[in-house]
Amino acid sequence: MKKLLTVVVGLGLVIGTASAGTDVGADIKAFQSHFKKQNPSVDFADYTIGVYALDEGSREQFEEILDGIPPYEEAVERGGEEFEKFGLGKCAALKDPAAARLAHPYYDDAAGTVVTLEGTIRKCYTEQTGKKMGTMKGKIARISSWISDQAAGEKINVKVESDGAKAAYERGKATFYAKRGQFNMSCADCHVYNSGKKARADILSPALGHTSHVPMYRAKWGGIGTLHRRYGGCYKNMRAKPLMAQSSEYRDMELFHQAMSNGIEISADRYRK
Amino acid sequence: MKKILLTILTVFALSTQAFDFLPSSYNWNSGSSGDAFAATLSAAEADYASALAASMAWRDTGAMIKEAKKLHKSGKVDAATALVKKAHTQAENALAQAAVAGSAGPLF
Amino acid sequence: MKKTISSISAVVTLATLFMLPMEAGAKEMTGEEVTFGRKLGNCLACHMIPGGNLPGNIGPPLLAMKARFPDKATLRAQIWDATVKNPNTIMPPFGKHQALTEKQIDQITDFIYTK
Repeated sequence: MKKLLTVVVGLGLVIGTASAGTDVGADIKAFQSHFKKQNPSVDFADYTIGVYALDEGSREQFEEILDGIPPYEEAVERGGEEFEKFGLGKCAALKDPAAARLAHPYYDDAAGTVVTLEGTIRKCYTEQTGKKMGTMKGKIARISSWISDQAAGEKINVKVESDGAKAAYERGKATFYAKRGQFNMSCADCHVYNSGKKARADILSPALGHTSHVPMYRAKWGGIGTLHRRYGGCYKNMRAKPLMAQSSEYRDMELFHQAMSNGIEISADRYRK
Repeated sequence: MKKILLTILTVFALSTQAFDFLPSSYNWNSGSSGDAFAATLSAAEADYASALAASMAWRDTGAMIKEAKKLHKSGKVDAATALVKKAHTQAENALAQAAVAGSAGPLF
Repeated sequence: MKKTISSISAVVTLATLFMLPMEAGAKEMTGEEVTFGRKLGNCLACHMIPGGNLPGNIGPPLLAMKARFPDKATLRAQIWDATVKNPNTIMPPFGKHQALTEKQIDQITDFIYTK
């Protein structure tokens, strides 16, 4: 009887916490096991190469590109030179570039907002040079790529702990799952429920591992772009009006989006179709 | 018989001509239809502003409102009214999405 | 034989005459063009359809539509707003969201229904 009572009380507690608050750990588990179920033969670690983990033919093409001189190599090198030139290492938050990649995105309790790596780079750049920096391509994408390269092989480990962080995470999660635009689609419609399937000849990439290689080089762009630039492109495809890169909505979504890939290796192989 | 047929055809052809002669945007009742445009325009603009504020606006609504205003200015009242109605419907549909967006979550 | 030729030429002439005004105005699109057009139905993005190249496989193949939709109106309603049957569907509500005109939806329904 006592045992039964404990079980009942225990169950009540579990249900209580699940409905009352945010359980990021449980969300990550559910998210990642969805992909395990969807693609049983794909190893968890392989999601670092994204869509190429799901299709053998495209994977071969991807590896061929990496075997040569990847089209982004020069730009990333230049990002490193720019990091030095603008004195970005003088900012405490960027002093150790590898640690900086791993620490972002995070929720800043004092400021009450999500801070992305690009946000920190832009802030530091302005402090050092007195000038402003863009959000989608060019310098910001090059420098962010170089910083991320320094953390290659480390695992994404986004922390969502404070109440403020959880609230931001929940907002980002809703943005990710909400249907929007004339096509009435959500991010999840393509990149969770239908990843691996084909839209015309394009294979839809899995959201798990999406942030392993950001900023990414896209053949379609002919250059490197930030994660938020990609968000904008997806919005347009759904015929929704894109939000500003580094808007609070996109930063909240990034917190959720990166957290879902916790445990996936950060990669310097940033080529995507 | 032939005569009747000819008459019918002529009348028909003439009436078609008459319709063609007037621009498709010809405003038969400029007073009330102008008001209809203004009313729909302000409704569309208000709903579009709400959709923007909710970060749930659609891609083309803003451009459609702009284009409708341009058409109206150049006297194409019917085309302008049709377009601004479409923009308003877009904004309404966006607001319907916004109403449920906050509670969206995974299906698993 | 001569008769046949003359009647064929009559038909052709008549058809040409009927098509002239359309050619002069906006070119009338066929159901196939509306169904396959990337900026229109773009149905091939998600569905295999006989006669269409490089189809996606997000949605079911559009085959045996008469058997699957004995009532053609049900098929049209599905294209107009698929969220009525399944609120979670990825398929855009083409009619409700005015991504296509009512006429274009009719054309697509007719075209798909022959598959």
